Amino acid sequence: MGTAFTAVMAGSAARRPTVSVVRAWPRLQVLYGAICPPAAALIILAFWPIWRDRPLLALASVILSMALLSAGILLLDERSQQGSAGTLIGASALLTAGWLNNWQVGPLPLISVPASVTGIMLAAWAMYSYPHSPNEKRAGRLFFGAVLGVLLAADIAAIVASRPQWWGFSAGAWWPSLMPNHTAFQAFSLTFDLVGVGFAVAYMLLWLARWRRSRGISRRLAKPVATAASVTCAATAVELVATALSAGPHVMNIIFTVEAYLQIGVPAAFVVSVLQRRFARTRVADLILHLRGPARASSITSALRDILEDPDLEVVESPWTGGPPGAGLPVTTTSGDQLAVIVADPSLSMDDDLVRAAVAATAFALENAQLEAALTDQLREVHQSRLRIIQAETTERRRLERDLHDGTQQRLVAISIMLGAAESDTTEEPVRAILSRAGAELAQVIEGLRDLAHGIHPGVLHQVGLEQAIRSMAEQYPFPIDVRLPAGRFSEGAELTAYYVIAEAVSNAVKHARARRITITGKAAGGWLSIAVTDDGQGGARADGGTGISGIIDRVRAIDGEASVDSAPGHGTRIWARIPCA
Amino acid sequence: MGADTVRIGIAEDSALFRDGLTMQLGRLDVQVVITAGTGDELLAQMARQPIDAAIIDVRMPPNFTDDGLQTAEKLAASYPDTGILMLSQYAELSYATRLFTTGTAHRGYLLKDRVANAEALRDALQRVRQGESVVDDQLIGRLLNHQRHLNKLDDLTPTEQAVLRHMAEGRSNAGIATTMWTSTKAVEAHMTRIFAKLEIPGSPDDNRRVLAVLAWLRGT
Repeated sequence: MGTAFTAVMAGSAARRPTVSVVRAWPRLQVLYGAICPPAAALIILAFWPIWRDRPLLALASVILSMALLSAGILLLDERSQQGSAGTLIGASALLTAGWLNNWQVGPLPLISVPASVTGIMLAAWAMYSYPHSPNEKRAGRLFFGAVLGVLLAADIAAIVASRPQWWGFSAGAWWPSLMPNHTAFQAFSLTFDLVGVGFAVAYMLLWLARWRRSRGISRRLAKPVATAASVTCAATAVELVATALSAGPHVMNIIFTVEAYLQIGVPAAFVVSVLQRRFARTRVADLILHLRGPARASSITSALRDILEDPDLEVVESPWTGGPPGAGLPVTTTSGDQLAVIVADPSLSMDDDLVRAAVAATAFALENAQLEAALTDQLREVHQSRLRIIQAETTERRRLERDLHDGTQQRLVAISIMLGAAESDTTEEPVRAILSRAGAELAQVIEGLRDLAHGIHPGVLHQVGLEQAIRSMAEQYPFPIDVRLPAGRFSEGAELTAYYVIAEAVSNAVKHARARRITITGKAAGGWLSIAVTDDGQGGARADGGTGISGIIDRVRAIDGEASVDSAPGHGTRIWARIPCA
Repeated sequence: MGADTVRIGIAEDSALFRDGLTMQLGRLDVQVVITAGTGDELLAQMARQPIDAAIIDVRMPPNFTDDGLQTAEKLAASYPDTGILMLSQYAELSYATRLFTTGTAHRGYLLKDRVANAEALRDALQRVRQGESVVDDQLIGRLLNHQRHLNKLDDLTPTEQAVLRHMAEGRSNAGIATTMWTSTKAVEAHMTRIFAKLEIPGSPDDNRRVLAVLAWLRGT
C-alpha cells in the first residue's frame, strides 16, 4: 500500500499538483434544471403500471433513480470524477429501464432483465470507485467487469432457455425462446442468484477492507457511503436468497419495497460524502490564507494534521534524510526543486484529490515563504549597504572638513596676516594697493572656504547641539528664519541627519524657491525627532533624480527614518522628516 | 621694550597660524611670551610666565572639539584678571555665550580670520585687557541684519540701533560714548530706551548685559 501511495504521490507531483476548484454552481443548476424534468417524466412513465398496485415501491424506485441521477450530475463538476458521474447517470437510466418490465408489451420485459443487473453493478461500482485513484480503479474494474460478465451470461442463458411466463411476464412479450427447458432455466437462474449473493458478500468485504485501511479524514468521508452500501448489500442478498427460495409474490413485494427504500440511502450518502470532500478540499486550499506569519513546515504540519485528521502527518523541509528514498510526498516549486516532503498515513492516497490539494497548498505556502525570506534578506542587504554608503560618506565628509579646517584655512589666514603686514610695511603706493586688494580677495576666499567646510560637515554640531547649530546656520542668512527646535541633545547620527535635512531645505528655499520667510520646527517624542522646514517660496521642489533633496531623503531612510517633500507649484515647500533619535 | 609692553600667551595647534599670529602681534608692539600647541601646555607655562592676555583656539588637541573653551574656563578660574581672546574658525555664537556664562569681563570671541586685520586685533586685545567683553563685530552685524529682516528693530532710531550694536559687541558705556562721540549719560539714556522697547529682560547696568543682548538678538 505504501508503495502504491508513493507512486500516486510521485505521479501527482509530476503532474504539477493543482488545487481542484469547485467550479461555478450556476452552470450545474442549469444542467440539473434541464435534465431533471424530462428524466423525472420518463422515470414516472416507466413505473406507471405499478403505480396503482404498489405505490410505495414505485415511489421508492422513482426517488432512487432521481437520487442517482442527481449524484451523477453533482459529480460532473469534479474534474477527476467525470467517469464516476457518467457511471451514476448510466446506473440511474438502467435501473429505470429495469422496471420497464411492468409494461408487458413488445421487447420491454426482455430489455429490463440485463438492464436491471447492469444498473445495479454500475451503481455499486460508482460508489466503490469514488474517489479511488486510477491505479486502484483498474484492478476494481476488472473484478466488477468479470462479475457483471458472469451475471449477464447467466441471465442471457436463462432467457434463451425460458418462456416469458416463467419470468412472470405475459406470453405476448417479445422473447427469444430458442430452446425452452425449465430445468436449464432454473439452473441458470440459480447460478445468477448465487453469483449475485457471492458478489454482494464480496462487495461488503471490500467495503470492510477499505474501511479498515482508512484513517482520519478518509475514514470519516467513507463512512456514510460504506454504511449505506453495506445495508444495501445485505438487502440485495436477502432479495436474491428469497428469489432462489421461490418466495411468494407478497413476500417478494415487501422485500422489493424495503430494499428500494434502503437503496435510496446509497446515493443520499454519496451526495453527503461528495459535499464533505469538497468542503475538506476547500479547507486545504484555505490553509494558505490562515497560516499566521511566514509559512513554516511546523505551522503547515499542524494545519494539515487538523484538516486531514491525521495526527502523525509531518511536513519535513528538504533536505530530508529521515526515511527510505522515495518515501513521503515530494512538494516541489514551480521549477521542480524539492521544497519538502509530506509524510502521511498511506490511507490518504484513497483521497487523491485531497492529497493533491494538500501538496499544492504546501508547495504554494512554502514557496511563498521562501521567496519572502529571500526578498527580506535582499532588502536587509540593500538597507545595510545603503547605511554603509551613508556612513562612509559621513566619515569622508568629516575628514574633508577637518583637512580644510586644520590645514588650508589656517594657512590662508596666516597668508592673510602676511599680506596685511607687507601692506602696512611698504611705502610704495602701487604695491600697497595691490596687497590691499589681494588681502580683500583672500578674505573672501577664506569666508567662502569656511562656508564650504561647514557645509561639508558641521564641525560644531557635536559640541553645541542641533538647536544651537541650526540657529548659527540661520544667522548666516540676511533673512528671516524662524527656528523652533527642541534644545535637548540627541544621538550623534540623528543630530547630523536632522542638520543635513534642515540645511538642505533652507539652502533649497533660498537658492531655488526665492522664499521670503522660512520656519524650522521640530519636536522630539517617543524616540523620534520630527523636523519640518516650511517656506513661502514658489514651490515645485522635486525629490527625485539626484537633487540635494533626494540625497537627504535617502540619508533619512538609510537610518530607518521617514522623509517627504510637499511642494506644489505656487504653494511653498514643506520638507518633513522623522528620524529615530534614541 | 617698555614696562607696559603687553605679554601674550598663545594656545594654537597649527604652527603656521601660530607663526603668522606671532608676527602680527609683534607688529602691534605686544610680546608673545608663550606659544603652546594645547590648552594644558599654555596653563602649565603660565605657572612660570605671567601674561596679560591669552589667545586661544577653540578647536585644539586632544579632542578637537571645544578644548579651547575648557582651557578658557580653567584659566579664568585661576587668573580672573587675565584677558582671554577666543578664536574660532566658525561663526558659532553659542561658543561666545558659553564663554560669557561664567563671567563677561576680560573675555572676547573673534572669528579666526579677523586677526589678519591688525586694527581689529589690537582693539580686541586692548578691550579684554581693560575688562570689557568683545564679540566679533562681523558676527553682530550679521545678527542685526538677520533681526532687521524680522522687523524686530523697526521701533529703534538709527542712534539706538548703533548703541545696541556696540552693546552686543561687548563695549562698556565709556567705550560706546568714546566711539560715538557722545557722553556716557546720553549712552545710558539710549540703553534704557532700548531695553524697554525690545523688552530685553534685565537691565543695562548689569555687567552681564552682553549675554542678555546676545540672547535677544539670537531670539532665544
